[in-house]
Amino acid sequence: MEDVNDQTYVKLISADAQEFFIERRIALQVETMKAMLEGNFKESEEGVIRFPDIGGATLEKVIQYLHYKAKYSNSTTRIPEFQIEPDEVSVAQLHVKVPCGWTLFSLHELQSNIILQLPGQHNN
Amino acid sequence: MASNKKFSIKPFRHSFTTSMDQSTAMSAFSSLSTAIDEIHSRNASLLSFEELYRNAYNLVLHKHGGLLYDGVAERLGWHLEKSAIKLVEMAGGLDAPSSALGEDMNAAIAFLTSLSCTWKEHRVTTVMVRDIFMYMDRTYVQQNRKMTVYELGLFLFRRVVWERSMEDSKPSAVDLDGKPAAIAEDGRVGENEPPRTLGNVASTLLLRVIRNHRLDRLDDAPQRIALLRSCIHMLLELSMPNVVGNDSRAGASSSAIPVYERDFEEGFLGETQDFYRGESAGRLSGGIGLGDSEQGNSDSFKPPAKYSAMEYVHLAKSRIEQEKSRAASLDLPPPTKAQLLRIVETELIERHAKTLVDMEGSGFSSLLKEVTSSHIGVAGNAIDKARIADLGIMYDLFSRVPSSVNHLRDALSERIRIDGRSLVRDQETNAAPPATFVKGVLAMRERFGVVVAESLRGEKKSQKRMKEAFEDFLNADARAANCLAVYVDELLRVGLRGADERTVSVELDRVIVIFRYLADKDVFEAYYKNHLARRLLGNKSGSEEAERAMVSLLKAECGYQFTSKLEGMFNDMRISKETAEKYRAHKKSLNSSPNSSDSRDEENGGKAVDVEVSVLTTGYWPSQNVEPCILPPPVKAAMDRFQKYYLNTYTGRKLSWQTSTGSAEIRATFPPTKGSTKPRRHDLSVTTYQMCILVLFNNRDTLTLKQIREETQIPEDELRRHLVSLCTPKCRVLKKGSKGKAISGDDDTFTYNADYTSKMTRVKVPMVSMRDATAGSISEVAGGDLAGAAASGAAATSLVDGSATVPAAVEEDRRHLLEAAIVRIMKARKQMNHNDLVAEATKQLSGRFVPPPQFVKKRVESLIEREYLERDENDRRVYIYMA
Repeated sequence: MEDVNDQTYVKLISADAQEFFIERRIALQVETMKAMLEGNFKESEEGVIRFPDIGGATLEKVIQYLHYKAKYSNSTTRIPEFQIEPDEVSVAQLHVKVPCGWTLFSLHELQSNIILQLPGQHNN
Repeated sequence: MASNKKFSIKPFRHSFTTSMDQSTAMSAFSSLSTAIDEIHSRNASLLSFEELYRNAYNLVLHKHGGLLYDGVAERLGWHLEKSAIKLVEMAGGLDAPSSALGEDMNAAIAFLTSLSCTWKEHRVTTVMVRDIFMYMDRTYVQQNRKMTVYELGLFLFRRVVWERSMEDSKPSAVDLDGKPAAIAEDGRVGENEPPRTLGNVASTLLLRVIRNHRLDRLDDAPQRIALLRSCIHMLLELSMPNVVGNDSRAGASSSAIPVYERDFEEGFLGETQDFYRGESAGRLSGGIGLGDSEQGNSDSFKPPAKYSAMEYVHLAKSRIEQEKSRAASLDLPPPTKAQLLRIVETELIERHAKTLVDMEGSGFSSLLKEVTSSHIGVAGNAIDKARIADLGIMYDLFSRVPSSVNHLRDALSERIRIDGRSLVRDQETNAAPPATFVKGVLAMRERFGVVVAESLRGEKKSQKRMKEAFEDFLNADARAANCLAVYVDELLRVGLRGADERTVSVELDRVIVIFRYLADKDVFEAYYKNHLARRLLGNKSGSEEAERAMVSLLKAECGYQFTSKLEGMFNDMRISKETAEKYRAHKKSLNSSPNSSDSRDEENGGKAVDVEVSVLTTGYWPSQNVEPCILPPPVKAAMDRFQKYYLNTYTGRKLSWQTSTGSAEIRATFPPTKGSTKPRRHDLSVTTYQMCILVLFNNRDTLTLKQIREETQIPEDELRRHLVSLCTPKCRVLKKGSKGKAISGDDDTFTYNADYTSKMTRVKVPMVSMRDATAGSISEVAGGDLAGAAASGAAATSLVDGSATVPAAVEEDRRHLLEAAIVRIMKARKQMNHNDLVAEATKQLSGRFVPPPQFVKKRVESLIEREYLERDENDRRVYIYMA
């Protein structure tokens, strides 16, 4: 885990310096992160991605979502809702806390999923 | 699913409204600009993707997308510009089209290598830049309908490098608003010769390398081919569809620039065509090829040696294989590959198909002739396997271009016709007896069968052509049907005697193959019936099994109708045997009673003559209306006794005796030779006629022809033949007064030959042919009578073995059959057009014979006369059935 060159895991660092180790394959689900990790940039050399404007709580929620997505993609079982507790990051907060563009087109899926789960909105 | 429709994802609206001012934007941009340079110099690992991404994102977010987009284009263009200038310098020396090919090869390779290198680096850079500017691609590019960054990279490479004019050393201006300056320029310069570009040079060099590869003059080929492959990939990618300009501009279109097709494929295919046109022409006509004039100026091409057809075929085959593998290793797109092969096949095969077939000594026709004329007798029937294989290779090559195979089929058909006609001619001129003719046809069928099955790979169309060709020469007249019947007769009499079942079925199957070709199946039947009658009556059949097998084969081919009479003949023979059995029993019972003796038997020493009678049903057997001759009294007595018995047993029947087909055994006693006291006895096996003749000599030693005729009433032709047969050197029972073979006239004498000798006790008197018997005196007998015996005088003129004409009896049958068919058809249809009627009647009768339209017309007219049919008043071509 400590070995940053171990390409099975990558490290994500939030604005408040929290570090998350996640499996590379989980990170690769996000197109932007995939470009970072597979291009010949600093990130791919180090296996570390820094997010200077994303807070730890938000990043954690995003990572949770990515695991949730990895687990249920191509799954034939019934897909449970992705829960966001009221005291956790709200959608508004997520917007604020994830201002970076990748929310929009790389994590927009996440966003729409979260919106779907909001009470009163899920009618499909 | 539903969520995608329900919730559209919009760019996130920021709560803060602070906009980025121009100077902040510029500094953010300049850091990105530097980053592009670093990426270009392969120093990207020092850069943080996240940071660059965030900068680009912020710029776009704060409405500086245009600045960013133009900046990216400018940077990428600038780097390409530098490469382009270098490449133009390198290409300068190479551009002269007349430069000697061999020497420049290394320089050409070096140029192509660096072009390919430039491309690869540019591509890597573009991909990395695209990743950083992903957000711009998603938002700014889409909103403003620009090219994506990657497309922009391709576009720039094409504009700046590939389409760079060789004369122009200035940086080419690129209008980054999307409409490239050069497009506008095109409008102005359009009429003039477009300047040579780097791309043109590169394409020429590519073609040169390929040409060298074709000529096998390329060193280090695998590596070079890999280089070409990457260049071709580049061209293909440059041809990808991209968006030029946006909707607000007139003439903006979303179109692909066919760089690959325009700059490479067209030239490549053209070059291929020239190359193979030249090569094939050179190989086939000994250096006066089309290609040489072109080759003359660019490279020293020594005139190639002229190839034989097979050498050429091998060349073409390997050329096609080479092109295939080259296309595969160059990774050419499937449409190009298909066109390439099409061109190669056209140039190498289609255009020369006729030449390859006709080529003297080695063409398809010549080989075919050699293979198929490995004649019977010459080294057995072995077929030249190597040649067969060669022909097969040629066929395989031709079959790539289906239309050229027709040339092969034509040659096949032609060969069969020629060989067939020569066989027919041999038969016609009596050089070959009918059986030899059939053997020739069988051997021919065998050889061509092998050619079609092996060389032409059993192809359906060739089989059909072979069948048609055989039918063509076999059915020129009725000869083949006749000859085949003679051949079968020989087989069944002698050929298959003692053969095992397998051999029999193989032989007969071969016969059936030829039989299928015959149009005059009824002629065959007539002859066959005639032969069968003789075999059955003369007890000459070699094998009962084989006889039955043949009839069942014919039945399978032509149906029950065709063989019913033949089967009737077998039946008659069976019943006759049973009748003979019963008659013998009957005689035994009679012998016990004393008053059974007949005074006529006294001539035979009081002993009754044994008769064996075959009772034949009229209609089944060949008709022979010959008056019975005068039989010796003891024989007559025996016959009367049988007749009495038979008519008592089967009431209501009528027997008429056919003395012309019978045979007899007589015991002749000759005086003893010197030194012996024992009289010599010989059992002579003779015909009924001969028996009648010989019995006359019991009372007298010498008789004239006239006397014999009067006392026997044997018809003239037969009498002469049977008499001559008794006077042959081989079997001289009688001595003829005149010299020579023939009988001089009515007064010619015949004397009992007391000095007759033979080693055998049993002697079979051989029959001479009708011709030998009548030569010199009667010359009206139809020519071509070659086989041994014809059945009777009357039949001989209509059924002559080897004759080409349809016998009168068969002709007669045809008339009846045709009229019956016409009436049947008209009765069903009531009204019919002439042509349809002819077609239908022909179809119905084709199993037996093929009536010529003229023949049908005559029958129709005869039916109209007899008021079975009438013509329509309004349309004379339409017939109406009259009930």
